[in-house]
Amino acid sequence: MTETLMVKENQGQIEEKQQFVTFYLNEEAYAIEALSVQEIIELTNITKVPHLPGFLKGVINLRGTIVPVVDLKMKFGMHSEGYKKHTCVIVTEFTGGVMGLIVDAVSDVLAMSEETISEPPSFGARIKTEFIKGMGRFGDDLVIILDVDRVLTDEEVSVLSEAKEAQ
Amino acid sequence: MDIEKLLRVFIDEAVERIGEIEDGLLEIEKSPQDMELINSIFRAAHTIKGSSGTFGLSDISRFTHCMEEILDLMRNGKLVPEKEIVNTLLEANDILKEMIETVASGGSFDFSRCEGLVSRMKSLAEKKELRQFKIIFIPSADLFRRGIEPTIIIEDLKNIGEIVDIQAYSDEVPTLSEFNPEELYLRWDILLRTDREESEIKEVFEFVEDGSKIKIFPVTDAEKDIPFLGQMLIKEGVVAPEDVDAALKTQKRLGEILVEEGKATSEEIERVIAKQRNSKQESFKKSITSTIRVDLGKLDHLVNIVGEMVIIHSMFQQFINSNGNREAEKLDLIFNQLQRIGKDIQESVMSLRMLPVGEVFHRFTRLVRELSETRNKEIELIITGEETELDKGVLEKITDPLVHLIRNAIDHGIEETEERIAKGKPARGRIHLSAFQLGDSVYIEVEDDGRGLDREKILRKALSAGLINSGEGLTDDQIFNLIFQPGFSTAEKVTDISGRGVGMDVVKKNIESLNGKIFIRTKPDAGTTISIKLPLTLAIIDGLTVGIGEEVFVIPISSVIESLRPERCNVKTLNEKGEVINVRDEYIPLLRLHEILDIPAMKIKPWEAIVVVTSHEDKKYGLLVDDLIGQQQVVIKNLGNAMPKVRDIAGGTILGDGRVALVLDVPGIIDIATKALMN
Amino acid sequence: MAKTVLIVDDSTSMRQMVSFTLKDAGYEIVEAVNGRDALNKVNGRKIEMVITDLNMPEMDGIELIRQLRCSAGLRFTPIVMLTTESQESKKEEGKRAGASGWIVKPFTPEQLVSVVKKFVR
Repeated sequence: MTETLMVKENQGQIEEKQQFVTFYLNEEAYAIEALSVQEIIELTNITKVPHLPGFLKGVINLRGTIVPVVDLKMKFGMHSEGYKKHTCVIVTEFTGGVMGLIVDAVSDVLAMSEETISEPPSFGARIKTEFIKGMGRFGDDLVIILDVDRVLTDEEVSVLSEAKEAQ
Repeated sequence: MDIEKLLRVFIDEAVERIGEIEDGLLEIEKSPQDMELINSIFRAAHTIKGSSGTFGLSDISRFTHCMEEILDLMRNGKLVPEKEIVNTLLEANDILKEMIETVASGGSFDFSRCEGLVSRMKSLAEKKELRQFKIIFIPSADLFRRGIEPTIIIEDLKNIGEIVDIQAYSDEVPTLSEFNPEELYLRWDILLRTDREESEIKEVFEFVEDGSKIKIFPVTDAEKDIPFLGQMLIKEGVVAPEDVDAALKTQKRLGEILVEEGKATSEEIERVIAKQRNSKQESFKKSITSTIRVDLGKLDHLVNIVGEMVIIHSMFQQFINSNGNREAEKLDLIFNQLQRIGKDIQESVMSLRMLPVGEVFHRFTRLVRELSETRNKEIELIITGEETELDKGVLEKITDPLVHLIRNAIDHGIEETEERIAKGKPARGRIHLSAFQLGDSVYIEVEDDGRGLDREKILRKALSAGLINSGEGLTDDQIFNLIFQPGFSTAEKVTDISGRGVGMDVVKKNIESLNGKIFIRTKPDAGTTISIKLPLTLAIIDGLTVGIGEEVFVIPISSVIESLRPERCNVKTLNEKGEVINVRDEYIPLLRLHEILDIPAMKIKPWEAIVVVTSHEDKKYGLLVDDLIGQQQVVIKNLGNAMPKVRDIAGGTILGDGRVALVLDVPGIIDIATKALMN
Repeated sequence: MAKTVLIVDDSTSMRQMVSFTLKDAGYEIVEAVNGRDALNKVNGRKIEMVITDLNMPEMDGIELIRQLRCSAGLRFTPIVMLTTESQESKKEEGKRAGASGWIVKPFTPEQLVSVVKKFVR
């Protein structure tokens, strides 16, 4: 997978661009680095694992390997009302292992250059700012670029310790 | 070329070699004459020296060179592997391991740390002494025709040392009619005492080597002047060292002399000679076990693929069964063959993950040796069944518990030497570490011949620790099993041996996490045996598939006693114990799995559902489930590193329909349930 | 009585060096410039040891060794070859022909004497 592209612009100058996978959560556009995406699969049967917070939906079978899945909308405290036709799982690799992210739909793979990415907003976002790596712009649209590592390690760590205490 | 990758290979190899050196050094004390063993240690050190040099790790190379020099002297018979030398080498090997670890982690090793050690090694290497060599010289028959006079060789040997013994054998000389005066028929056995190197002795034979058989080997031991057979006879207790010495002075063949003088019967000598021969063969066999190093990742990948194949098989089976195909019978036949082959492949792939327990066992030689020294107890470790194989994963997880058990045996089991003598026991304590396979399980036992568990002391401890309210009605077994309770420790003082913060409860937990069981057998003053029963492999288990609500769970068969549907009248609620069921007049606590797992169930009335009776810590528990689905072998997989560990789930497995089913951790569930009940 | 050593070499300097060294060590010396010369010189004479070069005109060292091993008086006499390191195959050939030993050139006088002493006492 090539995630860093050397794109030759019209002017002839060479500019570094990064690739992102964009997806929707309740009609809002989000993106994660393509580098961290292993693959995108259809949502299959999820096996629930007891004692876990709601956003950790359970585990799925990815060609013989068991992969845990997170409902991103629930994780971000958004309204989540069942899964539909386009619901899919983005299998990502982060520092803690492999995790599936349940999203409404995957829309595109975008190449964005550094300067079109701006700092995360300090307020006003639906989700915690520490989860946001930056705001990307493509055409007239804005996309929130997520920091997968932060999203997945943040509360899992506390869930882990809670699960231990509960015993 | 990828240097990183090469370095990785170097590190892997070095770690392996360091292990070999350690094992070898520990072994060498027992058989100081095992030249093949010394050679293999030498080769291991030599390899590290060479390859570290290649990677520009010249400090490591120089350090290993010092070790190699000592080993070289040993293999040339110039140095006797005495305790001091072996200890120094072990110490050096530990440092070497640290060096390699430092390389692996990319740090830099402080070589000034080992200056003292290096100079000690150097002084050991410089210590030269007179040694004896046995030379077997079977000259080429055409020596005369090549203008060589064999007696000159013997003269030359005299120039470099003292010929202690020389025997000419004329048994090859033919009858006169066949005798060719130009042929040489004699052969010699020579015992030479010299301060020269083996290579210098070899030089004497330079021109006669072709066509001749020349064997030169050092005769070394703490009892320097006693050749092989003599040592073995002494070790076997057949004769006393003085007898061998006296016999030696008369300079005849040792065996004959001892028989003649009535110190030993010829049968005894024969027996020892046969043993001598066997031990040589065995050490040879050990050195040629052929292995191939495989990356564990590749292996696990293969295991996964084969696991998938097994799953596809069961999907196929379901398909055949459900489709009522006209050709079903025929299909079934073919399918069965396919399944059999699949199973064979699966088994052989799983066996690739199997390692002999010896690798782990031999580490304990060192432990016992060191601990018995610090504790001032004489203890011998006997290892049997080292060829028994266990899954790599199981083997890795069993090491710590075994360390603990052996420490316990040394610290609490084996008495002080005086105490043993007073009891009329052999002064030297014994720990027997054994492994054997029985059916689908591997047993590992740690047996000591110490004082045995003290029933009263355990009882007192348990009472004062509040583990029990009274000892009334407890069987011996139940009392002994109290040592596995958290918060129990019989050690009166914390020692560096057992007082390391882990108790037997941790040992038990570890064993149980491997789906294993632990048992105690003990007898006052006769000793204690801790027996660990382990499944052959971790990855595949026999499971009982059960349904609860919409979910399917797998319960490992190893913890299932039976499953039944109780009569309504046999389900009772006792105030202090909660729900119980009466199974053949035995009251068994009933645990509602759906409540513990916090999921909906379809059948909440026990008499409509199924109770799976399991056992944990010798007590039975009934687990309430909706349905029994079946019994099958399942490949246990972990739920992914990103998944928080849940105490009541041991892992997951993939069912025939591709869905994931969770495998229950029965001890975990019972723990949770009983604790919840207490609160 | 001094032992007699036959030295066979086409190189005068080598012959002289060997000869000088061994005379100094108390041996009698007979010199020959090639195999044929050597066979003529040994004729009827009592020789205790032969030292021969391998590459020589007319008859080389290998052939000389073969011939010596066939003559009654020298069947059991030690014969030492003068070889160079590059002559490994020659050395083997010489051994098969019946040579007792070899000295690798170049060698020191001490080495020469010690090899001779291995064969003649």
